[in-house]
Amino acid sequence: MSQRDDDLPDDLQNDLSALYRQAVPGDARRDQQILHQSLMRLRWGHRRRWLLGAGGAMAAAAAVVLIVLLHKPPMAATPQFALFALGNPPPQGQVDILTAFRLSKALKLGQHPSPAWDRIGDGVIDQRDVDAWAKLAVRIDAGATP
Amino acid sequence: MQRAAAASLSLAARYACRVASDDDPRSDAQLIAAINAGDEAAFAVLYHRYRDWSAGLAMRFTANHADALDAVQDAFIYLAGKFPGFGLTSKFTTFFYVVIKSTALAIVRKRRRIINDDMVLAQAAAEAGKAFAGSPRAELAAVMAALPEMQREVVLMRFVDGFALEEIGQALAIPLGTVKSRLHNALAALRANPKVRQYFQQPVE
Repeated sequence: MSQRDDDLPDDLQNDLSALYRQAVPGDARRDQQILHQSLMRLRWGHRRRWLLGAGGAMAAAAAVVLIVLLHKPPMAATPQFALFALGNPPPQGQVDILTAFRLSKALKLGQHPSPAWDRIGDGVIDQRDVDAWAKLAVRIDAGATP
Repeated sequence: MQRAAAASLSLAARYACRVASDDDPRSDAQLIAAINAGDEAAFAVLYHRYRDWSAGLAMRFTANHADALDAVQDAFIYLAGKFPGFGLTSKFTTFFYVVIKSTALAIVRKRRRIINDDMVLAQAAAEAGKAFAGSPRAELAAVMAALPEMQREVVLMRFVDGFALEEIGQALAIPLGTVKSRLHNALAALRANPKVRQYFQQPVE
């Protein structure tokens, strides 16, 4: 753009200013009103930031408390665990469905049964062993030879 | 407790009006930083520094004092809501031009029940010369009203509001090339119009 394009004659600029930038008379009361409303908004913004900060800290603290409360203590601490002793499996002639129930209960309590309870022989005592003992009990009850 | 807070606020506003003056040496950026830190008196300084500028701009769109001051109020409330955490990335007037224009147009739309901003702007342009009926200024106003709004706005921002071309681009979120193009076309239309040609018959210094 050339220098000429960027310029306007002074009187044209003056007339444009007269047309499009009219002064609004000062009014102290109105100024006070505008400032009052604006400062209310300003204070709200600062208060909100403080509340968000405090709220965030409280939420973090509440989360920690919740985690502690919901965390289950080790099974060894419960009285039920201490009272229930699985022991070894009964001789095969004495296996019944209660044998499977007892193993299942021991597993739920978090106990570590002896290797004698590993019915399927995979080195891990789990629900599959419970099922195996249960099947054995049923076969024995049905008269099958173990 | 609420009454006490309201009284404190009213007192703060009265005090702020009393102490705020154009003599405050702080720059706009320094005032913004102070307001972010909770300095209410700094907000009052900023208000008084730009109150007349804001009101004059709002008048361009509202054409009456009451609506213009309502627009100024809404604009400064909007500004207050941006604190704390407000960062000025341009000149204050570049940022605030858009805010004033937006609040002024919203008020006019609401008062006159006009649907869109184009109608508001066209009405504002048509009313600009009413106070100067019968004078050359009224002719100038009519010629300006005939310009497309985009061109008229750039001319006014450049020669009435004193924005640099880059600042106009920033405020309107348009490329510098577009600003120059609109300005060039607007000035060409003004020069070619016989009703305002007399302005251009004087040499430009």
